[in-house]
Amino acid sequence: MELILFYIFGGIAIIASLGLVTGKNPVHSALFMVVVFFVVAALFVLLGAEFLAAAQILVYAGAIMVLFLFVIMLLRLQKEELRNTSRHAFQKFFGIVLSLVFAFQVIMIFRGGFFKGAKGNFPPDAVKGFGGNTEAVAAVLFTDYLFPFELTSAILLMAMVGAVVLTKKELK
Amino acid sequence: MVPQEHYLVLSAILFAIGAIGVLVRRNAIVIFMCIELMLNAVNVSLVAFSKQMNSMDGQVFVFFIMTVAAAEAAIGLAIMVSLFRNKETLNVDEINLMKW
Repeated sequence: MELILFYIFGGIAIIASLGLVTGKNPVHSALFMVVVFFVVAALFVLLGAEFLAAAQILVYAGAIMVLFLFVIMLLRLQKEELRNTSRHAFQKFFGIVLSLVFAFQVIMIFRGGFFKGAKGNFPPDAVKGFGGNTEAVAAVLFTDYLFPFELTSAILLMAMVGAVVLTKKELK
Repeated sequence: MVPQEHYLVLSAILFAIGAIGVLVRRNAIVIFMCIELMLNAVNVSLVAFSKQMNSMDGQVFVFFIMTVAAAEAAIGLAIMVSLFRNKETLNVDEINLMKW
């Protein structure tokens, strides 16, 4: 059952990401991207990471994609794609070949016997003992990773200030 | 029960598709979306490792990656808006101000 679901979601993810890369209209690409985000959230649920699945939908599908669609609609991009002005004739060919070689190499590395080394402190039973995936993530996040967690607030503040400064018409 | 290697292979395929998009497409916004796709592919492999190794650290990393991706999207789209305002295009071949 889990395997069938994995293949369904994985197939949708690959098809949707191909649609994202090949779509002529940026709006279509953005909508394919939403599909990819939802399918990745489903894969997170299959992997037992329910908190990340919820965060994925809220942050990516909810916030980032709306921002993307906003900007696409704001800038009239439709005619940009039709103007084909690529000066690098071989870039497409080499880009595809090199990416495929990369994927092949990574898949070769990942084939079998890859997971070795000491196991961590959170087997499924321990996660259940904490009360669920969210509580287990919180237990690690607010102890071992407290300082990086505080730093993310600074990152978000910088992003906010930066976005305001960059889109302002003129600085006084 | 899915063999965990399958998740890693799926993640590699998605990453490669994203890389193809970054190298092939000429529209800056689509390139940006392909970068988000690559970030997501890496997230899948991190969560798969996290499950296989019985550790929560991978999921915490994914949480941080999501935060950085949100910040990056805000900044990147702001750059694109001001770029479009100045050059009237988002074709990366025509944005060559800093090219030698």
